[in-house]
Amino acid sequence: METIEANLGINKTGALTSIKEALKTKEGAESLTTPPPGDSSLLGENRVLYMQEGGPVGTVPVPMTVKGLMSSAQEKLMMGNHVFMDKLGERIAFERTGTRLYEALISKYQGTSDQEGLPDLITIEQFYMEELKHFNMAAEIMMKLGGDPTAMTPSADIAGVAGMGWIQVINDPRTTFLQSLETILQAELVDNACWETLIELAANLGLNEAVDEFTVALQEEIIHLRTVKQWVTELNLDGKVSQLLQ
Amino acid sequence: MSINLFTDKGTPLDQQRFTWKDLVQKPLSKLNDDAFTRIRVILMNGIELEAVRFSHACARMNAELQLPLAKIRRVEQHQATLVNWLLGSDHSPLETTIGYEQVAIEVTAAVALKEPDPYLAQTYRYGLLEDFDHMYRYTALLDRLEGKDSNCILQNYTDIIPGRPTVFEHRDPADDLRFPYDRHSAELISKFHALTIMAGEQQTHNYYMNIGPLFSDPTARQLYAEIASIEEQHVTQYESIIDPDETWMEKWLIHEANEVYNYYSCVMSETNPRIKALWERFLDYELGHFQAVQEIFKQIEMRDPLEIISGKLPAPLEYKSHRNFVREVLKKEVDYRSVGKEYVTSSEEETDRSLQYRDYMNSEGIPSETVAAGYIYKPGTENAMNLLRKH
Repeated sequence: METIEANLGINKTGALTSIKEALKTKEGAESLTTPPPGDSSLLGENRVLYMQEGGPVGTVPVPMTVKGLMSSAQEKLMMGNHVFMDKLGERIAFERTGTRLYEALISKYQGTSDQEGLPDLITIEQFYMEELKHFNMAAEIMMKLGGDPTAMTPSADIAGVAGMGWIQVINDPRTTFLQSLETILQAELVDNACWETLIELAANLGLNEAVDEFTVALQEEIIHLRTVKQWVTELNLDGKVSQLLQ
Repeated sequence: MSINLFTDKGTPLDQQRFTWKDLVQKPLSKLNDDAFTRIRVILMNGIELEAVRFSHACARMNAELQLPLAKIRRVEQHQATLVNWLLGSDHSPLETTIGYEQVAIEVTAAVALKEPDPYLAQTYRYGLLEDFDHMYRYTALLDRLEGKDSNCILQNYTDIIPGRPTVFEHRDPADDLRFPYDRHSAELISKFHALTIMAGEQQTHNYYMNIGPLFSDPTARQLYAEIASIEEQHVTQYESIIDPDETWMEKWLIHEANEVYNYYSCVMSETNPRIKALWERFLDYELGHFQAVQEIFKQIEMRDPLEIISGKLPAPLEYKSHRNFVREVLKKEVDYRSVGKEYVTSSEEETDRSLQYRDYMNSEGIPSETVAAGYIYKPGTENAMNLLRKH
């Protein structure tokens, strides 16, 4: 497997693969289609109809401890909702999945025949360890607040659904190191933005210890993002990363 | 290359083995492989799944056959796995759906053209126009949900035009049943055709029932519910054309012969050398199954299998675009309806039972109409400018 695979080949997906047949498809559709009345907005109307009938994907779990109930009551009192616990649950889940994404990236590195020009594996492994550390730190904070770090909150569930494509791409043996790294870049972009939000939420609740720990995590995530973004750019432009970065 | 079911012995059953690594091979390329390679993969998965389902049904009714059925079924389970796992993970469930409907169109058209019995040929053409319509509805969904062009899967082989509108396909069960072929007088190819198309429809029905709930969009969930219902009707239709008086052993032997025939057709048409080698391997496996089953047939039925199966296989199934044939059928037969087991040429003649059933099912909205409201297929999706104009 090469680092970058964007070679010319026998891709058959385009209409121009056979313009004669493609025109038959196009002209046939134009002359032989009498569509049902309306337009694509009907799909939107149906979504709205079901939204009115449906409920949420789930709820933030009710705390099982006295401390948890107090934290929950405090958040409700100060914020009017339980967003912090929901988003903390999301970070726990996201970082946990993030470690698996980095493990898959390391496999991709190891399976790349020509590793010249690839980023330093030690740096990738460092990022992996930091994701693992962030997962456990966030779970610790959840426990200190009396919450259940093993529960799947609504935002954790939704983040998992949104990230399903990343897992598919990075674990596919046919994808290259660079294609996988671009997947990590997407995850790091989201991760950065979500840590920023979580810090704001913790600060609003006066959770100073959490703010401090989250800020350390964010600093590390900023480095992940900056580094991965630069690797992606350099690998696309030059086929190798600059030594300066490492 | 010609195959004789009785003289070509194939691979003995005890030499048909797999490893987990063997079952999970490099998948076909969604981008580079020919659409007909995917069509063959999907159909052969359906053929193998039917083999497994039939084998279970037979085992439940025939204690003395349970062990030989289980032995062959184990191999067929693994053949189905190896074949189905050739689909790449970059196919979204909806893209695979487009592939399934392309199978239904191109394979049913090939069968309809070759079928010697006029009533059975009419039955295939009738079903064909319904699956043809599903392609149009799913293409609209793929475009409007994922922003993708279904022609990337179809590769210019298949039209994207409404067929018999799905809204009119909902019928009373009494209008889904058909007359069966006569096991004594039907040609072998007619038996193969019926089993093949039934197997394809059955796996499509199962597939839609499994993946429908994976969608979040309400119209997508509804559309899969609606079309899965039609696929269920199609299984009802196609299983009813098979003579129910065939004995269990007769049915088993025809199943194995049909599997040989279908792998033979794949070998004769496959363009990907790696996949062709798999078809050749499984052709030999199926010849081995046929050998084993014909021996059991002789013991149980005390008669010669040649009484029901001729050794020489019919000409292979043709894997090619049937654009012109489908358009011809569309023009002539789109208004055909079924009344009991007969076909009528006008929608005016439909039964009250079907009309009443349909009216109620459609009374709270019709997903297949909603999804395609105002939709006319365009290369590059409906939001594209004219992408095929000359520069």
